[in-house]
Amino acid sequence: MTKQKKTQSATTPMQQAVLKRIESGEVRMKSRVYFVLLTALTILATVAAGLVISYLVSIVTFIIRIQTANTPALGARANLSEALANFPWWAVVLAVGLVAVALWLMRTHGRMYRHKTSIVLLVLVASSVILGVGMSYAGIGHPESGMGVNHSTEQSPHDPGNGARRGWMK
Amino acid sequence: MRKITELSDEEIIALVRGDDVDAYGEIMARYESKLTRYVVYLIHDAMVANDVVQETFIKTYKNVQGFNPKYKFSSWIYRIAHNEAMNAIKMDKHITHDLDVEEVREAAYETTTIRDIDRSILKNDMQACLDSIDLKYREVLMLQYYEHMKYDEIADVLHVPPATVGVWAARGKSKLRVLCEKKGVHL
Repeated sequence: MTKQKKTQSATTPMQQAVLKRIESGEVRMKSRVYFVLLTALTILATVAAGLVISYLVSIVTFIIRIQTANTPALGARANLSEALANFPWWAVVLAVGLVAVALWLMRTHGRMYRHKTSIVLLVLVASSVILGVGMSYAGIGHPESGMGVNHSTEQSPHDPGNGARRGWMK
Repeated sequence: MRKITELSDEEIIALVRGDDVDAYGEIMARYESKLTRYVVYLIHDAMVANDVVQETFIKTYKNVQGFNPKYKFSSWIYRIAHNEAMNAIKMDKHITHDLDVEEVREAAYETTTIRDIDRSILKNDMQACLDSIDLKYREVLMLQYYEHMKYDEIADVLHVPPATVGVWAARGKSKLRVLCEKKGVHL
């Protein structure tokens, strides 16, 4: 069918106008790749938000564990103020930003709008918190530490706070 | 081979994705009057509604590759129309209760549609009451009673959870009753 015939087959002025714009090339379909990338971006933002929250939670858990350690953890306690002073606030800002982007992408381009935003947020944060606590106990999430948090809170009295001196609070 | 008029929306969209512009004409033919009456109800301006519907068809075509064929096409296109209507309202391109609106209403609603509507909110006088309630409640009731959508489909149009649609529908009906009674319309 020729382009002209297509336009003529439209029964109303609105349909004719739309088909004319499509046939003239003024209006084009966005490629499938665009939508695949959008989906990938949504997943990426969600995973990134989860990881940043987990990272923060692992640090907070680390601090809590130092304060509540049964062992003296002298070195770790001594470095606590330094640790707090070096707290990565940028990660907090990044986490909030990523969560906002992830939620927006999920709601506009996915079908997460079928669930309440509060529930989606709760699930994201709760799973990240669990992961973060797990990371803290496994000794992951403190860059350059090279050892677990366990090492900082369970160190021998001969080597107090060795683990706490290392890592993210450098 | 089946005629294009016998195909479902989703089947036609598959053709459109394969660059069949003619098939898109069929989609527009199916949805032009439905979307027009829907948008007219939202923005109360027949002229602007035409622009909104045209823009809806343009956006639908542009984003057709992003449509997931597992879901209903009608909910998707109504969602785009909803967004365009909300943009028009934000841009303050409205809102006059002109005569065209009444004409569109008269033309758009088939008697069979009316027959199906819940008896308690069936009366024509209810139109005035419906126009007086909040947009979100009005929209839910319109989609439910005039477009015959289920809560799930309305949720897809409004991008809210189906439970919220249920709440809005109940509140909308309740407000409608109160308003109608104030205006002397007994439901």
